[in-house]
Amino acid sequence: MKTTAHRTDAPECAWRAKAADAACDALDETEKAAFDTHARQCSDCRETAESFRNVIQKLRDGMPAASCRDLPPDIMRRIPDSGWTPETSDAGRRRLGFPAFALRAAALVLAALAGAVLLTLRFGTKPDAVGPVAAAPSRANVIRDALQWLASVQEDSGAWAPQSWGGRQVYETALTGMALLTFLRHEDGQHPSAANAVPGGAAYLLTRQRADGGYGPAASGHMYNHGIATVALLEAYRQGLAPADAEASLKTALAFIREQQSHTGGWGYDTHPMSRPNTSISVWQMEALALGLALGWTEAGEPLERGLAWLATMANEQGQFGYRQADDTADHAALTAMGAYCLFKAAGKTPDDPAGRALVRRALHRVATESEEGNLDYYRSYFIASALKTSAEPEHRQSLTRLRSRLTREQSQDPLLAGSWNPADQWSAVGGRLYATTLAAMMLENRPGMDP
Amino acid sequence: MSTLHDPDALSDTELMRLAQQGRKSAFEHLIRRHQRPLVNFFRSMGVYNDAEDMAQDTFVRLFKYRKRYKPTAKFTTFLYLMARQVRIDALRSRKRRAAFEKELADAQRMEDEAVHAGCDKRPDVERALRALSTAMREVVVLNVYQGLKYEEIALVLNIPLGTVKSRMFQALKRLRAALE
Repeated sequence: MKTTAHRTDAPECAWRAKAADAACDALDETEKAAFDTHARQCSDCRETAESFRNVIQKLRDGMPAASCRDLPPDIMRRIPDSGWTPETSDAGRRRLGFPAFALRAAALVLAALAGAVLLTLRFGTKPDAVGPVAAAPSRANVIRDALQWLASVQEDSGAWAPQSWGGRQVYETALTGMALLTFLRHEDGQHPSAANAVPGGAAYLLTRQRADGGYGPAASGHMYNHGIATVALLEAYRQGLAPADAEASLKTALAFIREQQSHTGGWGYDTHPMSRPNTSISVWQMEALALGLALGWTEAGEPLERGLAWLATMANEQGQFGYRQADDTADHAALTAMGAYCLFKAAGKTPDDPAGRALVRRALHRVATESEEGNLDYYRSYFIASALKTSAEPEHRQSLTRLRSRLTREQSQDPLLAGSWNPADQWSAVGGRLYATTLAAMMLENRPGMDP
Repeated sequence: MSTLHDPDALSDTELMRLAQQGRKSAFEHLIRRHQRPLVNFFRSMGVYNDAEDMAQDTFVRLFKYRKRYKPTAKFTTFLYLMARQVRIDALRSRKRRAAFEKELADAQRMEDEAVHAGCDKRPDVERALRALSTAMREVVVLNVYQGLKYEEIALVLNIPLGTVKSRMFQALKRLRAALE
């Protein structure tokens, strides 16, 4: 076998310095492609990189793994107890104290009367449930634990930082908006845990407004940030919990939504009217417009009408909504729920329109039948729950109850994270634990989230 | 599948964040996750008898500086920044330096004895690494054993990215010669 990898007599190739980087996988995609192209022609660089890879492999193979005793006991002795907060009582006290016990017992009786035994048999019990009482924590307690967890992880700035909880920092504005909404939709923002969380979160979001009116960084996906932040601030403003300067900011934000609307009536990822619209982003913009209209800001009416007309074109004859067009291959349950949610609540007048009413009825039927398929997807389920909340049909209410039962069971009772939900769906790499927790908690609320 | 009571499901950043909030069990779990690689780091850097003590010192220092950690930085970058400072402080300490020098002398003596006896059991890679300068060895150990990227190594060592690259290149050339 030829071994000329480190000859020193020939003039050195300028690319050779990259051989170590290539061997260490330290080149980005463009650099790697360029180096590989060069190395196909240059035996010196090719052999150098290969020899370096062999060295690295030898290093890895040749160094025995270090043995190590368990260090925490010694380390913890060096850290004063005052450095820690008590953990054992947090979740336990909330879940096992007498009031919770009594509430759960009452809830259990009611649930049994309502046929919850069948549901329990179908879905099983919580993994750590002990006896029948622990099987049904009250929805109020579950929401309260979620709010307490959210309040405990709010930054001093008022933001919620997704990067701290497994999400992407570029969506900090959207996730701060979602956390804010979670507080605002529980007892109209009057729960004790909201006392600091809401003013801080609202004030922070206002600081995120750019000169063009958009909230959050000017990056791809920006319309998620903007739409969700606008909805949250409008809710806060409507409840009298937004800072004094919020009105001007919000009117600018709604104007920004109008400016970004495509000629077809929907909204896309980017801050450009030519960005191709999709249902998911458009729903948030329409919710913001509907809230603005409910506040008497009539300039929101026309873009909302156009948006709803666009949304109606996304539905097929069976009541399924598409992502960018009717009958595309997207997740129909989620998109159908979004469509129903928006049509039913944002339109307000839809029930008076026979065609619109029929569309909503078909959409809700699809949601009810598809809501239990597959793994729990928080984003999908959030809109499913929102759509189902708008209906008084027994079939729809039962679907909602089953969804909530599942959520209640899956709330983390880990002492480290009590009150949150584990980010385990397809969007969790984007939103992390904040995303999972805010959406799960809002699903458990009775408010549909878009009261006209 | 639910991951209740399963801190393994949490990222370093999440555990660190909980530790910042005063959650003891999160910090303990973080230690257990990183103790072996950290001890391995010190041993790779030529610290044998004190490797576990230095790992302890690193975690105590991590606790002291926990509020300074920002999730914008990778946790291991922050950890090895602390580890390197602990090692430098230890070398500066007279007492530690004396022990370190004695350790080096002992190791050299053992090596000589082994070579004379014709039964050198010391792994080749360990000797090859030891032959590198500290500056080169740090780059190799942080990259190859601790899995840090060049940019992260530059942060830990407080040197330009280009210096990391050139040190790695030179180190690999020397290691290649030593290991062939």
